[in-house]
Amino acid sequence: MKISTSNRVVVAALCASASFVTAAGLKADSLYFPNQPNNEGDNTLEDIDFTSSIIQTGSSGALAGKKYWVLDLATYNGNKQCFTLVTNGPAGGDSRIWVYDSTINDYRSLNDDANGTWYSQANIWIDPPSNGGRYVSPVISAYSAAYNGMQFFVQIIKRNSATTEAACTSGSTYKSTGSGTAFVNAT
Amino acid sequence: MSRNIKLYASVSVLVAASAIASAAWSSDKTYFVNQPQGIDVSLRNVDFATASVPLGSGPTAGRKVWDLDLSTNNGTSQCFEIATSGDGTGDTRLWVADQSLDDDSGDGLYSSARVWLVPTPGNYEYLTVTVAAYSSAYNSIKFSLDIRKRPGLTEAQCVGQGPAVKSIQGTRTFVNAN
Repeated sequence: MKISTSNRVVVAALCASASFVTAAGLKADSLYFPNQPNNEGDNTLEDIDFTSSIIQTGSSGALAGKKYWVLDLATYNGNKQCFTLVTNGPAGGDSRIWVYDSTINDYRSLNDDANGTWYSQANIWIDPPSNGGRYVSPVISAYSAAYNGMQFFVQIIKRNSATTEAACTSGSTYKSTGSGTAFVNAT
Repeated sequence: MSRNIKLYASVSVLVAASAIASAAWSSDKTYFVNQPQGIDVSLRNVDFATASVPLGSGPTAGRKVWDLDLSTNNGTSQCFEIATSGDGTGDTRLWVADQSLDDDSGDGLYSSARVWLVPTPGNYEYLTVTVAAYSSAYNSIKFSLDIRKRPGLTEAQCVGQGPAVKSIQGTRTFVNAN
């Protein structure tokens, strides 16, 4: 169930090519949101419908039985980047944000409930090598299979490039740096 | 197909606020905004077979449609590039309001076009590009939508090749639309 990191590298390399879908195959509904050099800030708002046939259902581990949507985040060449993810939607939805944790060989919950709702919010801090990219693929799932038919949206905010690691580490935060990975205030 | 421009302005202002959601849900769509500091590439997979993806009206009647809302603000002119692609079995068309922007400028029967937005100082400039099935025969296609911001391009560089639409302070012009 782990998303292949090598696939992400391929995606990044081919991001300027319209052949992405043909080459990689259309899988689950997902969004590629990289931080290319010379750009910073901004946000995107993605509507997600878990009833869509291209939204996959976890088959094992923490995601077993739950619909989930993959977000590919990336940054390159020493450009450290803080991202903020926020889910929200009609009342009755319940989401959870996960990141794969190799130490448990499964997805680990990063955030369950935020902002006084059953929806979720988390920060992702990526510190890439000086010459190359680093990728993090948070997963947004239904809280349980009972929410596999929900519709909601995901807001993905690329924070200003001046945002420091300390400023990014607020609430539930996942860090991926040259020193390794860390879950902070995971719930 | 309804579009609430004011809502998106609110989204930009309340970027971290959770209150935007309850009013926001409609069909499957991507919101791609050029804030003072910008985004790069958004790649989204779309499945027209999803029930929440609506059918169009007017020239897209009977066809599945998916809206892409583009905007820029704070006096920042911006060039966007849009392309659909897939496994070769799909056929898309890009529309702006009731006019076709592009049919087959992308790979095979897929579509590609550019958008040039120029806001008035202190305001947003919005444009919604509708990605539609070419005909109802393609209402179940799965495809990828690639949206990228092209930083640093002038108007002439942005619209100098292929189909494009310009929205300059509320005035819309099509270039090489097909």
